[in-house]
Amino acid sequence: MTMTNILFHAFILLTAGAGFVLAISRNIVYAAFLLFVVLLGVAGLYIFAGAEFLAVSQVIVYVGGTLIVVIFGVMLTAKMREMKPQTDFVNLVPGAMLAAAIFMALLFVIRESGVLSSPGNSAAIASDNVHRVGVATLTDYLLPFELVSILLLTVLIGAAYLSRKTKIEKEEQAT
Amino acid sequence: MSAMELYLTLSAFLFCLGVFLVVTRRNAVMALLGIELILNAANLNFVAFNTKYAHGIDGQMAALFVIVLAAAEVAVAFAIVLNVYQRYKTVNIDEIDTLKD
Amino acid sequence: MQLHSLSDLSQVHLPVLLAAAVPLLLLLGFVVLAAWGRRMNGGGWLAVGLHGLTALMGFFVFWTTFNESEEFLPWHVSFEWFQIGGKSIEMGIWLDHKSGMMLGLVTGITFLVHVFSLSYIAHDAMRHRYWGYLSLFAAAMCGLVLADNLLMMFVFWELVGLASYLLIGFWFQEKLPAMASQKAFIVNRIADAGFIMALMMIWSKYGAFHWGGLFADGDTTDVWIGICLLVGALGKSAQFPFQLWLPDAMAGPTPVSSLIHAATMVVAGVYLLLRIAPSMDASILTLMACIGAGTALMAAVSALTQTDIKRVLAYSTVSQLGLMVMGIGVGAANYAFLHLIGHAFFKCGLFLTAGAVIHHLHHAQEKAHAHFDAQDMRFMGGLRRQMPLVFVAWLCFAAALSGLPLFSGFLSKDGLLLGAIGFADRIGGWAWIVPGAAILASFLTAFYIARQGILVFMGRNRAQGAGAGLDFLAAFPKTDLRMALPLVLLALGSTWLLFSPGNPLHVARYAVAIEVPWLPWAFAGLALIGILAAGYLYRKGPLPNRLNQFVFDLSFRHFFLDPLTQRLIVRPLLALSRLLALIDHYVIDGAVRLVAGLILRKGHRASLSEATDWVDHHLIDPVADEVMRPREQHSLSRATAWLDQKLIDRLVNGVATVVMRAGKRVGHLQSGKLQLYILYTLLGILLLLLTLMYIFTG
Repeated sequence: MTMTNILFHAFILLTAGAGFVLAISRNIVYAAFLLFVVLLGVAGLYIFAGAEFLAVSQVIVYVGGTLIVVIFGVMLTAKMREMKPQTDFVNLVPGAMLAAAIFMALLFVIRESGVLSSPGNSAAIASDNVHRVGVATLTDYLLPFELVSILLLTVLIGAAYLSRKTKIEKEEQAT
Repeated sequence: MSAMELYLTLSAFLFCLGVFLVVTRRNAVMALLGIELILNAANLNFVAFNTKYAHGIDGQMAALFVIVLAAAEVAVAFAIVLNVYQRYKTVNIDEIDTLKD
Repeated sequence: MQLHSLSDLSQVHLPVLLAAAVPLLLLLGFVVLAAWGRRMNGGGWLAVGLHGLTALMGFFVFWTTFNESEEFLPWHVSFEWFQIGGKSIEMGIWLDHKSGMMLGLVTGITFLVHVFSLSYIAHDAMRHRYWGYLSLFAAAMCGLVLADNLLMMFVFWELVGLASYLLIGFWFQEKLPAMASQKAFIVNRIADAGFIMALMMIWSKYGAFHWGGLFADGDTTDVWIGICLLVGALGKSAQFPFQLWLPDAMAGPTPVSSLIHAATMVVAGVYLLLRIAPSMDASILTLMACIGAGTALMAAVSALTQTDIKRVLAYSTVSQLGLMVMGIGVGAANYAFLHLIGHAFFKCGLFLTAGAVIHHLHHAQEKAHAHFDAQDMRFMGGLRRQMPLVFVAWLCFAAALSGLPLFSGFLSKDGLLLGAIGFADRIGGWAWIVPGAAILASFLTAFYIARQGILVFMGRNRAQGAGAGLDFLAAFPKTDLRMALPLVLLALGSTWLLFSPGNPLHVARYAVAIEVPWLPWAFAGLALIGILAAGYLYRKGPLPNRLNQFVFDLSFRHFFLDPLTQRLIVRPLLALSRLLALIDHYVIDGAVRLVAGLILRKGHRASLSEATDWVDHHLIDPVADEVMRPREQHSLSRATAWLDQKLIDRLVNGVATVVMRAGKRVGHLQSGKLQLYILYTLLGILLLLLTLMYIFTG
């Protein structure tokens, strides 16, 4: 086993383990930090798959942006007075059974669908990943790229609108 | 196990964890964490299949857009969660059932 | 010429660019007015300015195309609109004499109506919507006349329909306008079905919609295509049997009526017929001639007895449009077009005078606190003293409508009538009905318009009889300049000046099938006789009805077409839908409930025999009882009544409770617990996945 190989397996284990603990964790703050670990693990796996740009985006956008929002959400909605940002379960048994069944089914599909044995056209990983992503973004994927920018703007406005203070709340605060 | 198989298995595992979170957690924030896991599982699949084609970039591009969309989704989702919290003073999904028949 | 990129625009003729800019500008105006009209105090001046600009552009386009010789036309510019099935559909501008003239006409008339509306609508709270709709209306009509293919024309055709619907129902809070707008919309939709069918047939036969590609080669099209196109045109132009909507459409504001009747709505059908007439089969043309002449006569008869000032004019429009359609049918298409243009001027003017009369009466009523129907001619009379300018303008319009010399109607109507006579001469026999009806219609035209004038402007005022005080006439407002200006311009446009500047008695440009020098004078004399007859009959104000009530109603209610359609079409349709609803409710629902009841019963008692018992007891026993019981009046109606009461009611009521119980049980699924929903969904997906796996892997 080479060093890369060991690291690869370590990342797999890290991601899976963090995910598992996240799923059963009752403390919501822990859960948010465990999500952070999972996202980092996935970012590492992207690098092993030759998607460096994606890995960096994952870290910047997810860890730097999304996760912060999540933590804000956690802190804003947890009842801070009680100091118990905890959650409990509903439908625990059927949910767990369903998830396990889906997992089994997916494993079966992975094994039997022949995707593992089908040959790709190359096993070698190209080294100019960032270059190619850049070119693709501004050529083949220009339209989705522009659309996404519009979407982000919409979301910016929409989120700001949704979380603004309403008139009634302001009046309530004033009194 | 080959790298491909590991990727796919991990992806399936993360997906199921996400489903589990979404279905069983009462707290809306936790359910949203589950959605993030599901999105990451999908991304992992995209990237893993992309390794089969050295000169292809489509899988990575799809994953890239998913990341952007996930960011947007989180922003709106939390805006909604905050609104819900202000109105109902709770973020427990199963208590918010004003629309039931 | 086809455009491939924006830079190609620099090679396009200036008139074509301007023509294309007209509908675009108007659409922009509509958007601006719709968005900010309310804040601009209605935006009336903006709308007037915009339409003034487009009127100038339209006039320029008209002038350049008019002075261009026929061989260099049309100027055609198009670009690819979309591709479907490997064929490309184009959108473009088609400028020739007809479309250039129409563009000038539409923009000009719309501008004048706008100026008039400034004072007419000034105090309406919803006027911002009014201006926006008017711009949309004009934009749609301009697009329609400029379209270079049938599909594009159809798009604007529908837009015209939409805008007219919005404007007729402008005062939608009141019942009458709301109903009238729906009537106009529905009747037009029915006719448009013909247009759509024609489009489909044309597409399957030619694979193109182009004027150039379709109709230039001179051979005639399929009869069915012709009939379907004709149906579409008849609907828009309010010809038999679709003319019902037009008289009701005056429920909208009067300037809108003048626009609909003159330039922007009803002439669209005639314009379409003009475009397609060269390639129509002779049988279609004959059909057109018959329908046109028939409608002209029917509407003219109806206009004789109306008491509503606008209704007279509405029937008059139907009648004149009938003459145009007949003109196209008999091969005098040029004269039909000429009449269309002339008619636009004088009919617009007539409606505007009617609007001025109504407007002034309303104001006088308000001041003098009088209450009577301001549109009823029986309460008018003698108004020439109160509004002399309106009266003089009205004289010009009426003279043009009756076809007196020196006015535009004289030039075009003669052509139409001569064309009809030539047509009858060619075919002979029964075909003489067509010119006969047309001549009779034009005689009646002179009569009814003279009647209107006498009732409105001549004699003594009859408002006092309707409860208005003595000060009523003194309360009459002065004619606003914004109302006067359009009237004067339109009156000028109703004389010969615009149409045959050299010779007031003859149009040099066009030839008709038959030329008889004394016939035009005979027609003019006939019109004069009609006017004099009206003057004699109505010299003492409105006549009491001395006719047979049925004959009177035949005219007053337009040959009972409304009740007839109600009886023959609307009610059967409603009855059919009601029948279907009953079948759905009793037969199908009943069967479903019966099955449900059986199954549930079975489940409850866990035995089939119980279920059969239940059916036996509830369904078969009552039937058997009723049949066995000796009774003499076992007629069919009793049987159905019994079936309704006993069997079906019992079936429905008895089973409904069972179904409700079952429904409640299923209703628990709708718990409002979001995560349960997700769980069920995922479970479904999982099952689907397993099924797929089973199928594909064995």
